[in-house]
Amino acid sequence: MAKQMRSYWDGGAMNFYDQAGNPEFKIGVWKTCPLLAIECDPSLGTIFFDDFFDGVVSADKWTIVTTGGAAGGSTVIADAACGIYNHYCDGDDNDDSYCATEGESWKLATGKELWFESRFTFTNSATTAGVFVIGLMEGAGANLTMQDDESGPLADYDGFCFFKESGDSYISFESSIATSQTTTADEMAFVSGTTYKVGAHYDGVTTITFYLDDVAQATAHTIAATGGEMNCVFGVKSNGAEEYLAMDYIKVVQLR
Amino acid sequence: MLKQTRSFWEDGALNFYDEVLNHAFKVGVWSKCPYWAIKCDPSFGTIFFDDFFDGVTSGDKWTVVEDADKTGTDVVADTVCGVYHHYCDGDDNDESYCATQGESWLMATGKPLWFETKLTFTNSGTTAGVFCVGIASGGGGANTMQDTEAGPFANYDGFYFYKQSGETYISFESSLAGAQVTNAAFQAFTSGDTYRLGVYYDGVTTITPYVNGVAGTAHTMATNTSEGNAFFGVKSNGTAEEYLAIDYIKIVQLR
Repeated sequence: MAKQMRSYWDGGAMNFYDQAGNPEFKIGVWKTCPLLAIECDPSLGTIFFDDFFDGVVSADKWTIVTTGGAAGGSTVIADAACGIYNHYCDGDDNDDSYCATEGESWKLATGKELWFESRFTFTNSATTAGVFVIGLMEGAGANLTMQDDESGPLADYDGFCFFKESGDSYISFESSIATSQTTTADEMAFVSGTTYKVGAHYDGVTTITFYLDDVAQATAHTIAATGGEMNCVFGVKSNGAEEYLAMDYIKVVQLR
Repeated sequence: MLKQTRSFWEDGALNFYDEVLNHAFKVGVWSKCPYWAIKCDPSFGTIFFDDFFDGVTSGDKWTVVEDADKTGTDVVADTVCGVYHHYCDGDDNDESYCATQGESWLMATGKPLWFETKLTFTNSGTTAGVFCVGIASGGGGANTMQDTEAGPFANYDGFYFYKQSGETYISFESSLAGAQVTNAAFQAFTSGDTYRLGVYYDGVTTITPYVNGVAGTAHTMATNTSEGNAFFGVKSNGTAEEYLAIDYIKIVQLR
């Protein structure tokens, strides 16, 4: 199958992409990421990537926090191409389950540009049912990362997240410093069972731009340097039935 | 030591290689792999790589399925490059396999795949022992190599490299359900020699095996219907315990 690899410069960063198989690279979140320079010298930045070929074991890469009973669904690397991890929560109202990195290893700080992307599928138990969240959040992964009864993400945190509440037919994007949140609620429509790529770029100054399927959304958020470091987190919450998130990958790159 | 890093284009893919240290790159399995485009954007493809610096712990990256009572120690050996020794017990038809937790690869139209492993099988006696490595639906389960030299699974999607006891060669087999194509004398085998075994599936209908960076006779294979695990393992023919020394396994596929 013929490929058409090309180099591409944006924001002073050089990358490679495939014009035949992945032309949207030129507009997506990674176009300004100096990944090759970091690969050549780790002192320039950090690369965190989980493609979910391996299991998610508590106290290894991810720490799992679950409230309520054990889910009936199997948290497992699925028999599906590309490495897909299915993460379940129990089905009682407000039961939840999160996976968070062991440490708060990222911080939105001046000069510390950051790129984030995750690809996932949320097939909810019924029309508009269920809650999911993915992002970089201070204190994330604990109980109530998504608050009970559709009250949104943590009330007090530094960072950003993509989330859907039960009853929502869209994916929201929120950025936060302490108790001050900015939320964009309706730019990204959500359809159960559809695979989405969500991304975010923090420019190392004051702007977070968020992406859906490689397209930068109209509303960028302004955010000052945060005081708290952040976990990488994903998880699901029930409003009365078991839910699961099928994670394809999460990647976070930040200048060191 | 002088190096000569150069860029190389093949089939539209750009790569870098070292002309002094690794000039065989240009004819090997990786020459057409758009690795750097995947590194720059993970949505384009997947990269699975184990260089075996870490141990193989059942329930993490690899799941171990085996018959009991082996005395050999599965361990990352005290040798350069990260080499993992994986043993089976020594009773006739006792076996031990490592398989990825999920069946995470599917040879499907538009999804080219590149596979390579480097391994050494030092058998317990002349032509003794069985080893296998590959990607197959159900790969790494019991009887991935059937008892009494009956070959790989009778029904699977994917491919194997393998050697059975009594054989002095490595075979390559591709399979779609119950239909197998086998190159039985793909590569002469010498106990204790290190081999690089590779596969390129073109995302259409051709799967090409490689040994030590050189392409062998290609097979025609239609789109698979079942995903496959990556796996490797050993089986005894009753002579003694056997072990496989695995240096690395790498698999790249478009997403």
